[in-house]
Amino acid sequence: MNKGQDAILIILVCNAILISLLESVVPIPMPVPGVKLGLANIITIIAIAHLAFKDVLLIVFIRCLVVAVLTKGITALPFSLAGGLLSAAVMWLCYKYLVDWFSVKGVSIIGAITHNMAQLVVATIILRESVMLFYLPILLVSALVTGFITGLISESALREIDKRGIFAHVA
Amino acid sequence: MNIPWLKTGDKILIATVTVLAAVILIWNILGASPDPDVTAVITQDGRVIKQLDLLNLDEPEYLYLTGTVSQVIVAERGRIRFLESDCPNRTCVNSGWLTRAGDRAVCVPSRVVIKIVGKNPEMDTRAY
Repeated sequence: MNKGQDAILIILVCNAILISLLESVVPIPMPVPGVKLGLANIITIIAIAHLAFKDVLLIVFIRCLVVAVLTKGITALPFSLAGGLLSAAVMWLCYKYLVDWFSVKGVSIIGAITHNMAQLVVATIILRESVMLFYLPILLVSALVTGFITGLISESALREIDKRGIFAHVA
Repeated sequence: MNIPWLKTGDKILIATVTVLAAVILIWNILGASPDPDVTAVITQDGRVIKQLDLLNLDEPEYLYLTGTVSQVIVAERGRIRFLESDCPNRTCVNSGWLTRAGDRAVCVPSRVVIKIVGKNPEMDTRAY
């Protein structure tokens, strides 16, 4: 990895942490308790578009670790790590190989669904009781909505980065 | 922009997920018993720690749980909820009152689950 990509990585990690923290400090009212927009997903998508796979995972890992320590505590860490890493991996695959099928909005929705499913599986393991079917409809619909919103923002962010050549001189 | 706003895969994805969520939701509602006799089952680590017949409560019953997370569960005639909890994001408390068979509230930090079952628990757990 060259210095330019290092710089992008650091910028994206800082932004991901800041966005996550802001989102937990300024609560956006949600109809369902526990559901949030997941705005840090925007950074993951920008990372997928501009960096190598292992750097994307590194960004998600550091973000989850720092945010867990600063806000939600360690109990939340398995949840955000499982959800974050798995959804990043699935979004990376979709973005790289299924670009004819899915727009960034679709990729983001798939990521949100993966994120929620991973959290349900971790919840089932921790609680030693299946909560899958009960929460599935609500999590599917909320993933659809939040994934679409973050996907929309990601799409315009990627377009602006390209148009203004923000990463062009460092990559 | 020459790229379509929604690609084919996007549309199929949105439609599939919406239909799937609706089907599971209907399945869950049908699976829940219309039986008004409701029993609350409280489990921790998958083990039942308390079972309450919610319709035979004349006054509120409080259940105090201590351990890594302290929390208070309150049951009244026909309903039950997490009242207080010192877990970090208090999703359990925000879940509010549980009233119908099939309702549940979950606290992950304390690994406590409250769920409501009908008189015939076999019927209600079928869907899970």
